Amino acid sequence: MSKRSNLLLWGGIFLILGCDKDIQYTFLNFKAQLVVNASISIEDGLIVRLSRSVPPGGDEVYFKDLQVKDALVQVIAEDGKTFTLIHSEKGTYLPDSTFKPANRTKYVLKVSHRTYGNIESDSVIIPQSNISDAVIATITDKLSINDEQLIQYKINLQDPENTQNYYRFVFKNIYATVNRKTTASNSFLRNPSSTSACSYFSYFASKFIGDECFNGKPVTLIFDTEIEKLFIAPGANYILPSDMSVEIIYLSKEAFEYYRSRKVPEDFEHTFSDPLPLTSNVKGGLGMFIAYTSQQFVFKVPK
Amino acid sequence: MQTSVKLFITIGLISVVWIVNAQSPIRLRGIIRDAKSNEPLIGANIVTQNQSTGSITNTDGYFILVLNAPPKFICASYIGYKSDTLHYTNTKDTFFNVFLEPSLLLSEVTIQGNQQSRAGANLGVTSLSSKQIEQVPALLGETDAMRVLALTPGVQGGAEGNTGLHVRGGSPDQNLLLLDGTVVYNAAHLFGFLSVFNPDAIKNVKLIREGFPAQYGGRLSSIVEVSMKEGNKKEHHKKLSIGLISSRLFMEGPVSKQGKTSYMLAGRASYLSLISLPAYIQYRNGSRKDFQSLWMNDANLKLTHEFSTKTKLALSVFNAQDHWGSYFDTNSEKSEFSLKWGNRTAALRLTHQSGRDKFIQSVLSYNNYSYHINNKSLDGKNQTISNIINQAKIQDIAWNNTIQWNQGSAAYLYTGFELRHQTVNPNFSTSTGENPIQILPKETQFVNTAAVFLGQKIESENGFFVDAGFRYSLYLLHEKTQNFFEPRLKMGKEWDAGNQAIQISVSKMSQALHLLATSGTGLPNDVWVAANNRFPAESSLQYSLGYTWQNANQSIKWSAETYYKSIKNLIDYRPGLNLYEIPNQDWENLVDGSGLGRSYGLELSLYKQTERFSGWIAYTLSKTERKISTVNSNAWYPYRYDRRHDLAITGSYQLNEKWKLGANFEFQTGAAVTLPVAAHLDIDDYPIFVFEGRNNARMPSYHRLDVSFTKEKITQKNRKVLWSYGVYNVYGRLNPYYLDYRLGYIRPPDSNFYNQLSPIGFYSNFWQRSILRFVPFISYQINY
Repeated sequence: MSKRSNLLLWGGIFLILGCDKDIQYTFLNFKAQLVVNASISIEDGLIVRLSRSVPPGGDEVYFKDLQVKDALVQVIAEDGKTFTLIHSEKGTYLPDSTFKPANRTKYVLKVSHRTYGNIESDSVIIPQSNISDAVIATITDKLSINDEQLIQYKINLQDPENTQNYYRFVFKNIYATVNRKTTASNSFLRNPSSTSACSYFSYFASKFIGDECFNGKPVTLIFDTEIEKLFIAPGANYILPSDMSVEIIYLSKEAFEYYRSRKVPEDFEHTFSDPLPLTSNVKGGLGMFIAYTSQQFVFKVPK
Repeated sequence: MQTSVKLFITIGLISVVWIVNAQSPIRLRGIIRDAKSNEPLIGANIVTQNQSTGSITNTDGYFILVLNAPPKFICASYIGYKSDTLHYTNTKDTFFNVFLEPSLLLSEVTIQGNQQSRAGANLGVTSLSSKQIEQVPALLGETDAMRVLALTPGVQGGAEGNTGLHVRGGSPDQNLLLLDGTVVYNAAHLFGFLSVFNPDAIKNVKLIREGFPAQYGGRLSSIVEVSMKEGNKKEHHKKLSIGLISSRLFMEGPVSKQGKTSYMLAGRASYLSLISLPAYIQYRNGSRKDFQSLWMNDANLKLTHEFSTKTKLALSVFNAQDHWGSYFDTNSEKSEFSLKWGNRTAALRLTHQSGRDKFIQSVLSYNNYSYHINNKSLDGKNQTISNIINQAKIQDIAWNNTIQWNQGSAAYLYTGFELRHQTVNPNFSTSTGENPIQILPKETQFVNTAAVFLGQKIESENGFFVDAGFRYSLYLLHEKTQNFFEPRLKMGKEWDAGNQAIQISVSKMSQALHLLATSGTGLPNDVWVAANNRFPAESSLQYSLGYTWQNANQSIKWSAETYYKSIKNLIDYRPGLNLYEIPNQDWENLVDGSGLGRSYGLELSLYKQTERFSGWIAYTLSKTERKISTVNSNAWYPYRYDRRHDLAITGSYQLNEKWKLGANFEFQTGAAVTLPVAAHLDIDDYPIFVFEGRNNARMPSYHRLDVSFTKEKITQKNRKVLWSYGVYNVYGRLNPYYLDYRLGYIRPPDSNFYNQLSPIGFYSNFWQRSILRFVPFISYQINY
């Protein structure tokens, strides 16, 4: 809170006194590496995307030029069974129908490429879902910073003590024709058994919360979100969402740290904070192999 | 390492025994004073003409010369004053005052005869009088002692425009800032653009960066001793200064007709918020939704009473406050944010010359530094929705005592003790309202310090000088007790009639407080915390070697010094910490400890002064690194303000009776910075940068030139008026305040609105943000 306000002041000063200019910065030792972005879950199965890295500060880069489509991709289950994935499109590799992800099973990913070498991931386990309770939503008379109506909703959560899950909450406004992720301002976690606040961080429309918030006790998550009117197309009317959804994604600690490290300080935050090296659980390249489980709650927007 | 320290100390003590020459000496004692105000002068030189024996006045202007035979002449000199030569015939111990007339010229001394100050006294120490500080061109015309210190060898400023000092690779919290003997915890006004030291109130600033005398402790890297003026003992004077950022009013004068009691009062206030006065009126009228204000003020008061020529009591009080407010008001919601921070200090200082050869100094001091953040949200009916308070404070009560005992020919023993009780409330928040979060304040932490010290200082007639001693510091912490034996040794040899000197020194220092800082910018909500079991007290060990030369009339001096410093038990915020998490977390969960630091370098300086010109060149070649287990895989990495080259050229020239020209030029290697080494797509198909580790790259080099012209005029009412005009960064160099990198999406040209939202590629580039480019200023000062 205090930092945010300090940053605002500095921002103000920079606006008055600051001058910006582009500069060239060249890292001579850059070498392109293979990047693996893979996820496994009961709900969505196994998806592996392969690409390559590029030097920063360079020319425009098109995704299609980064995709790696000619690699050998395999996943090895805990029991030793090996499944070879097939390139589907745009650098995405999928298993055949014989592969069924299972809970509490370890999986390792292996990738071989003639130019970029070999990648092997650490083993990952699909976490168990363990939270369920009702969502209570109430409309408030408060407006957001965008002068939109705010809706507050409360989720009662129960986390068994023996799990070590980390959580990602994704909020969406559901409209008639399209769903939009939304931000959840003024959010906090109320845990009656804890005297200290829970640490969380936000990334786009997601909130990430650590396991230490729960400690096996029931907690209540309270969020204020905008009822964002949607602009569909030029000339069309604005529409209101009919429903809202909260998706709870259960992550491992490594995946949680991956998302944390992905959050890069922006603008004048650099004077106060350093970015992290991106967390990776693969050897021989860059990227992440994430296992997750998700649950979704949908509820009517109160009128 | 420890063996070498002991060996060093042993050599020092053997030297002491060898050098001490106990004859029946004559003691010449006294105080060197300003002839116009009677104010004692700190760091003035007094030497005998025939014996080349000399002394430098202490913080009370007191000196003692112990001589084997009466001298014919005694010469006294001081920066900005005409030197004086006294004919001396007495053969007995004598106490006397020496009065020096202020010089109108830039030249610090008018050289007469063989008078000289000893070259060895300059090594590792920078001493600046208020006159010298005023001569350096200042940012926006705001003269600032800390900024001037940043231009001296071995000292680097932090970010652009900031007054934080990095001395020989140390961070700003490792400087012991003493204002009349009281610790000042945060020297930043206006988020670091000004220091809290009002230039009108300052008599002298001394920075010690090596060979620390044994009476100082509690910080690792430097001692910055700021002495306030005592006030004119003869006449009342006032000075009004009007600048672009702040205005100052200074008053001084005698309290009693006998001139035994004097006062000094200095006040300063900024009026940045006046610029936004129209916005404030609009905000009050409801025609504007938001409003911001930023204020600072400080006040210095000093009362000095001389009971006799030998006993003096001084009361110093200092109060500095800053306030930033940000207000937002809509019909349905109102938010009020305020951040206040400030120092309050008070010191009672008794000095007494006892008997023939003892000088006693006792300081009882109190200080308090705190910040307070209040973030209040109200609804449309002015009912509180939430009220979040975040605050931290630290306060000390301390008693320091030093006895200096002169022992014979230019030798004295000094000993004493320090008792300090520190109360630390690191960071606590409370929240009330609709969504209460009660973060219980962490238990108040205490640091009780008991330190004793003993030192022997010798300046022999054959040129050897030694300052050897130790300090034993005992820290009684909340969970543990830590003690440090801190040897201190400075020794050397002068030759060529005192015009050349070589010196070696070793110092061990300790620090039982850590500063949790998110940057080097000295933000007010950097938090002081007490050492404990997990994060024990920091310590440092520094070795240095120096050589200096000056010509016979001291118009040119140059020196070369080299040093190596190692630091243990540093702490730092965990890498990648979310800034917004900090205020609501227990600090111990946010930091990593057991950090190491090392710094080594070479410092070269050249001072030149003539009747019209005064200036110096300071160059430092250095390397400073840090090592923390969770950063960069526990490898050494560059400290943010590790600057390989640091050059400062400063000068002022008296053009004629009215006009004076001042200029300074700075060049520094760019600060270390963390930049991405690659970019790729992440798991959500967003482009993302890849970072290798902290401080893997460098900003572009920093350089700028400042120029100022000062016109001095005497009005018909005999009032001295000064107009200063100048430009900071005269050639408009775009020095980077920080570097940034950005990613942008390439979107398809598509008639479908939602197809346009899906990027098909990205681009990235680097850019820099610069502030303070070509900043002109004007200021006005009237003395009456």
